[in-house]
Amino acid sequence: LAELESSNVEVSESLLLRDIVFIFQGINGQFIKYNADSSSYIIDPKLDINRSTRDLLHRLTEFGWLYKRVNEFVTLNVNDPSIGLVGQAFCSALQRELTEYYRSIAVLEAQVTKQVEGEQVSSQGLTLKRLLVWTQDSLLKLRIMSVLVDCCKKQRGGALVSTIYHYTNHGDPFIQQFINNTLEEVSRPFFEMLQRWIYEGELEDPFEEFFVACDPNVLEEQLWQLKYLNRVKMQPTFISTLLAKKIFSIGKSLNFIRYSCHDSDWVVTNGKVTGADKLLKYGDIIALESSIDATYTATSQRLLSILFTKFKLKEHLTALKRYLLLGQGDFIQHLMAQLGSGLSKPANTLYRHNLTGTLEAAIRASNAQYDDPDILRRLDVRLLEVSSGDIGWDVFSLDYHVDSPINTIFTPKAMQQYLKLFNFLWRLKRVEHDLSTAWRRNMTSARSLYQIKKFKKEIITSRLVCSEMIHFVYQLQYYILFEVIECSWDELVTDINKKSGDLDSLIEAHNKYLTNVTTKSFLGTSNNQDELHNFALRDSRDSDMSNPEKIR
Amino acid sequence: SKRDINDKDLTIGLLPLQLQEYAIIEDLLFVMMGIEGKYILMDFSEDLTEEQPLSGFNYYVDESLDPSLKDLTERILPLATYYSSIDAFIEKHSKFEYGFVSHALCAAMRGLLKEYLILITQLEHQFRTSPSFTLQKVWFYVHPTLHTMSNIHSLIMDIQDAAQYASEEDDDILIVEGFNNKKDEIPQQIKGGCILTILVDRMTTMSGDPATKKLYMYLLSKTSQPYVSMLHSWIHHGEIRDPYEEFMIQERKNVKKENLKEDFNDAYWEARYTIRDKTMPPFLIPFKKKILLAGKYLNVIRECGIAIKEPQQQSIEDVVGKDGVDRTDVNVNSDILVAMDGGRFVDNIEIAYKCANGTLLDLLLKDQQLIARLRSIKRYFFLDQSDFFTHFLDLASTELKKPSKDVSLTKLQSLLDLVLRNPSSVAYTDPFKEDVKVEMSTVGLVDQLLRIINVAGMMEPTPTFSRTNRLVESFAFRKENGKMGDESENEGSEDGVGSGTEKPGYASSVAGSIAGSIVSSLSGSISGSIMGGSNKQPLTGIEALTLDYIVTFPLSLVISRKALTKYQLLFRHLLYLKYIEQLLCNTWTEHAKSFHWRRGSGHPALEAWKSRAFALRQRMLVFVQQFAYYVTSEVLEPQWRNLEANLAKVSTIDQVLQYHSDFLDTCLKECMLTNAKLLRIYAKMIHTIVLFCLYHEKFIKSLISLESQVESSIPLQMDSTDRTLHKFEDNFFYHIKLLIEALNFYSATETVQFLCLVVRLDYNLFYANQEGTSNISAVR
Repeated sequence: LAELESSNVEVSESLLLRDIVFIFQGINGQFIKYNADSSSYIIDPKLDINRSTRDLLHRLTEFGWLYKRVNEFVTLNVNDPSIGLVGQAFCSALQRELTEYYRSIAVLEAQVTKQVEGEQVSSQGLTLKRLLVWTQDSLLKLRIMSVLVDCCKKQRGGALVSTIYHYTNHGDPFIQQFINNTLEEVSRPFFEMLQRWIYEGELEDPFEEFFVACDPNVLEEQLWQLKYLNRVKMQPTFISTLLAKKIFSIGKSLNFIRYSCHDSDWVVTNGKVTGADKLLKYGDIIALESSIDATYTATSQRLLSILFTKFKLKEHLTALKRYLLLGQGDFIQHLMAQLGSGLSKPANTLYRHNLTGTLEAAIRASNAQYDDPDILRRLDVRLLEVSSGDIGWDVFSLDYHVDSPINTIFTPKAMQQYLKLFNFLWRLKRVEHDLSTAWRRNMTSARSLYQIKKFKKEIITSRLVCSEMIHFVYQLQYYILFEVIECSWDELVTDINKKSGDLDSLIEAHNKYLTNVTTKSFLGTSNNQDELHNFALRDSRDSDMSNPEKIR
Repeated sequence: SKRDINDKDLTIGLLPLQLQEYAIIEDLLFVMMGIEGKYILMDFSEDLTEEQPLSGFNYYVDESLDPSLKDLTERILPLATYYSSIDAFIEKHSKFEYGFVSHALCAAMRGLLKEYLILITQLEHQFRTSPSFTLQKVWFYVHPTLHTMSNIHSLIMDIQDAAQYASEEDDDILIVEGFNNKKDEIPQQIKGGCILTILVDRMTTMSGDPATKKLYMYLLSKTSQPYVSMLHSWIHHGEIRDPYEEFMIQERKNVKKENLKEDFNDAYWEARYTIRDKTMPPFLIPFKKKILLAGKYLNVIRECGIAIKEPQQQSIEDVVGKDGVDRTDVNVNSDILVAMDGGRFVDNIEIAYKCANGTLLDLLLKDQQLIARLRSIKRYFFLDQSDFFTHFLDLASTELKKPSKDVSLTKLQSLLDLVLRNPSSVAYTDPFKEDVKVEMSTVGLVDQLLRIINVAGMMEPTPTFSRTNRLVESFAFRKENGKMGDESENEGSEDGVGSGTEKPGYASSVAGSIAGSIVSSLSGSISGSIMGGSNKQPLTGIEALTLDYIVTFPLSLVISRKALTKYQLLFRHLLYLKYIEQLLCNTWTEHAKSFHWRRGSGHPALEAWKSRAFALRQRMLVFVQQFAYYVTSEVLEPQWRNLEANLAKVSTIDQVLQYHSDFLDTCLKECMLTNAKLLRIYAKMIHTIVLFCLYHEKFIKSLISLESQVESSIPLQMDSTDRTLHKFEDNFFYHIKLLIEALNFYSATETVQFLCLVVRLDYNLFYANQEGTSNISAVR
């Protein structure tokens, strides 16, 4: 039988085996060579091997072809930092798999060399068929790797992780296991970034692979609004939008605490305490979610408590309501009494220092003096832009200074709204003030006026009109101060006291409060506002008309 | 192309027998790995497409081979065919679009193939080392494997058949539906649950042979793993991760819970998650309801923003008890259970169902205070402790007299708010009072009810419909109920009340026709909307007034739009009763305090007329009050008690839903709002009463003129006034009798509760005994 075999096959199986083992590593063998044109392996046609063996060999050369593709990708990218951290991790994962592959080849090779030396088919010997069977798993792995390499060529960062993640949608346990392992490695840099971001607020992302981006040009003032952006493309699909939003918010809050609230100690210690024992990694999404949830609550709580205790947010809110929304009645009354006459003069004759002096006096004279000096310090007079013909009433306004970090909540836009509201309320107050002056004059001069019989009827009418106006103004004021401001304030306080959510929800609650107040006091649309201003002004003019002295 | 001719030259038959055997074994070893041999060739006769055929290649042996060897070889050859078939199947069904279950099946098959290949290498080894290795031995070694492989092969053929069948069926559907972009999709029949079904079917039909059974159990246990893990995540987390649409539950993302508030048909609960009945593996069919509900409940919980916890061991024991799950009601083949992880999934389903159920029930009953909610709804819709409502009606009376189009909703709303926030009102302490809203309905109550009862009525224009329909019904009614006799004959003429026309055929019934003509002269001035038809007049505010209630998400599962509509119907029914009572009371006040009515004129005829008017008013009042009493105290209140008691001991959400809808349905039915016949009679009675109250002014006028006649001692011209009152009397008597008869009749078929109403209305058999007198008055 042995004779027959040797006569039929010129090349012994062991030699072919040796060739194949080389080909497994992408190296050309003695009889089988890679043909770049057809990108396949060609068996030397001169060789006298039977057709079936040729077929078998052909099957085995698939390894070489796959290996070449994977290896090409790895060598091309392994020393290229521009592929990004995730890409590097992908390369290293591939390399690790290849090492595994080399190891199995080495084992096979040992068998082959033993055989070649011994020239004898031992009982444990290797044959081509056996080789095919033994390498089944490696073949599958190589196939998956080559598919991954193909689809990941152009991808980077989070997108690459997503792409690989799509491949876990396979029911075959072997494939699933393999891809999960790969994914765990590939996503490691991503999770490291994530970890630093949620525990320390640092963005360590040299290749823009993370789904949070930082704009270094944005000033600290606008850190919360503009500094950080969401890079949707890089968000891995296994992280839901809600979770991503939380992650985004955590890091932002940490940075806010550190840079705007100057409390980096907490950030560092907290990051150490909570982040030290946890290693985030792919595979346990539920644990990831829960740890992110915990961090989210802790960070948001901390941020809010800093704002409310250290930066006295609530006091500021109250102060704004008291001074700009006329909550502190005696103060406003006093201010009105002091300023009233002065403000009727042309606007360009007003001087800021005079007004500030009056403001100071009003504070001293009212209960406002017992308020926190820090808050009183912020209270200031502001003169709006003077255009010709304006009188003091048109340009006078109270102002409240907000600085970082609370200006994240009291944005310039919000302050604008406060000023708008103040102007409206101030004018309303002025009308009321004028009306009551008119009434007083009317009353004090009643006796002398009654002596003029000619005007008796007119005087009575003017009194009636005057009291109707007073009624109207009182009702309007009541409506705005109680039904609008107090109700909205109550809502705001409930929202704040809930203390859930992050800074964003706080800002939202405050904005809602402001919009509520503005729309309900008819200041929402410009149309309404003009109308009402006109109304209010006309009213005040009428009240002047009813002034008996003018009639006289 | 690969078949070189050189090999062909060498015919095997020429070799010595031993060499023949040697060569054929060597060839066989290749062929069994799917590689063509020297003497055993593939059969390319069939049309060869690019893809490897799922049925596998056929092989044939060189003719010149020794016949007995050839026979033996041919016995082994199917193995090669099977191998190629299975290989092709794995290649094809491992693709992503075939779904998790297919992948798992392929993986299991690949495991088996690997064993098979190992067998071949062992054979090769034997062949190389032992000189005594013969074809017979090969046969001996591969024989058991042949069995296994043939089983797998026939499984593959089954799956292919299913695919074939599915694609044929799909083609038909596609032609009918006129779109064919779904061509690329893999039919449901060869994915997911269907694969499992095929496996289970084969397993049960082939379970006689232990080897086959073992094979299928192996395949089933591997294949079902992805499915079971999907099941697990569904019943424990309410999540479906099913990119290939294999799972038995289908989620429709476009069905949103927000629709629940607007949509009349509460589709969310029904349509968001549905069972794919066709693709369900048979061993899950007994649990399908529980599986669906468990996940559905969890989703409701999650939509409310509550995190879902995996049931802990502790809580499992709490839920299930120490003994574990009772499996007596599970009639699943135990072999299947063994294959499926020892049937752990059965326990899991049970536990998950109970946990989800309990959590959601807690959520609804405790966090969302369902019972308190329902109580508050009852307060507003059933006017329970409704001091606020009388106040509201007083305040809003001017507004409510206007046609419904001119009524300002905001004004009514603010009035209602004012009333509800009044600290002296009972409703003040209700935490949910903010949720009540005023609404104006566009359809009259009776109209709406009739439409609901008789959906066909919506197609036709209302007046003709109601007319013909009523006639038809009246005949049908007569046929059914011989007792009704004369009364039912009058039925036809009663149409006149609503439409103002007389039917000559029924003119014999004097009373009816007179009533018809007189009322018709008036009906123009009053809205006919409470009548079951002639709806030309716009609704007035009071007729259109209804309440609405804002329900937030998890509660809107129970208090859906449909339920709220039922509440609204009941509310309007009650409201109208209250309104009529008020009208009658006003008439009473008038009677009691007006000088003309009180003063005795001394003229007997006039006094008799007055007292008849009083008596009629009193009867009407009694009727309305008794009716209202019946509705509130004998229907709504007991039913509510019933519901409360039931809700206190519910254990599943579906029970809650069931009890609640039962409650509403019973209420509607016992308030006789579901019976067209009763409803029409009732509507006419109400109409008569309203007319009477409105006609009251004319009575006063005629009374004054009559009195002046008495004073100036001119003989009395009482005829017309007298007649008018008679018409009212007759009409009322006639209808109340009709109603009592009808109630008696329907108490047998619909609900016994009607008898209570009969007793109330016909107290001491007042109307029943009055037969004679009423007839006399009718003749007069």
